[in-house]
Amino acid sequence: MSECDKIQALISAMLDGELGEDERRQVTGHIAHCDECAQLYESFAAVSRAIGEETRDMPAGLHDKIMTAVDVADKQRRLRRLNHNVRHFVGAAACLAVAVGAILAVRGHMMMGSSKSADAAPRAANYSAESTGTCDDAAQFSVEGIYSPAEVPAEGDEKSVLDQAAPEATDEPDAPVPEPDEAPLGSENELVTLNASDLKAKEIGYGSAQEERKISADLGAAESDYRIYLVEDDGSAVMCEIYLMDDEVWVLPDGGEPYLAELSAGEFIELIG
Amino acid sequence: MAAFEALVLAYEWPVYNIALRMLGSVQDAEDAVQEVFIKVYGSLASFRGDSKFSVWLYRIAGNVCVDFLRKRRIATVSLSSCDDAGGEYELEVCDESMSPEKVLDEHEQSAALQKALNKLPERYRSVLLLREIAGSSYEDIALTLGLDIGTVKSRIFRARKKLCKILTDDGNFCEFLPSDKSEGGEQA
Repeated sequence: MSECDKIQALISAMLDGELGEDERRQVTGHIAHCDECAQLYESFAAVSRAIGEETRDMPAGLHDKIMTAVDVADKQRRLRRLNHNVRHFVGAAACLAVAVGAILAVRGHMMMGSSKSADAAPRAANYSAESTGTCDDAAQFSVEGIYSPAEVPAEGDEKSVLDQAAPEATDEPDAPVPEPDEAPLGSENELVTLNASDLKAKEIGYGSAQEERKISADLGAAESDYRIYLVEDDGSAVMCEIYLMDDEVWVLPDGGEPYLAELSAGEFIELIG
Repeated sequence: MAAFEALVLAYEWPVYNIALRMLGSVQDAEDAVQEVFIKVYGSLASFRGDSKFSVWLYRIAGNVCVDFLRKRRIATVSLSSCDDAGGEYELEVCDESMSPEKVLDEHEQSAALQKALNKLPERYRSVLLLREIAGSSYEDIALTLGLDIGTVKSRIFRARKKLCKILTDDGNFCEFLPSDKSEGGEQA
């Protein structure tokens, strides 16, 4: 390696302030009498300067876009985590209910066998049913704040919790029947109706159409907090899923794109009484 | 979120400019910088403070840019056509709408620089931009990219040498030299 090769390898590091005093003195001494290396130094300094000078200011509005994108992504992430946790919790509660029911049924059977009493079987059956009811309470507790009480199904049926918003009519005499004042706002027979002007979209400009589709898919996959009818000015009505996140209200119209409503979650709850 | 916004304010400019020069497209850079901060916010809990925050953040930024470049490479347009024998075949061509020159040519010198940067291999471009735009030290660049300091030093040297050569070959280098030097003609 020639003297020039050695110096040229150091020139770049010298421009970046990465040389020690001895090496720096060696380079400056060399380029003082070597045109080729001096020219290389000038060239490197020129490209370095050019890259530094050709930087751009942040485009107007990009900072807000970043913050909105982070906020939206954070909400999506929390929604997914919430949904995941609810599924696990409800699944565990359902398993527990089944297990307890099974144990009690077996115990009842054993009692019936040992006492040979004629009324032992119905008593055991009743006990079992009561216990299942207790587990329903546990399941109900597990989804508190996400599902309305009547949305929590009887018999710890996970599918009915996760895949339907309103409870199905049941012929089971022992199934818990929701009190009228507990009827969920999402109950299909009694949906709250709001005017479109009550749920105006807030202008947030939260990104590309692709991102909106992603949000739509995520919201659509999660259980909503409420289900309402939204009546447009022309009298047409559309069913909407309502998601309350922090103090925000996300509206997902049936077959439409989701939007963030102008009103807060508190105002929404006040509005629906 | 207010504390995180302070971090965004501190780093959005270098991240945006690195993305702009790595990707050569204003739109891609805007999308990339949003994705970087989404990832940073989502991973803050995993930042253990073993390294500097800037090293960790630029590593994420680098990965996002590489992902964008990878996606762009596979962004091709398939065209159906027929060969002489009448059989159908697929012809793949680059999607020109993704071409950096289409987007970043409003300023001649900037366009020339971008064109030259686009010709630099990614491994040289990333070290050079971390140095020139983020002002990272060789040690930090080494930590960011998982290289040793000697490799960083030699890549920055090679990056500058190649960039000078590309600009010279394109006939654009004189624009970057001070006026008293540019009259001399060929450089580097």
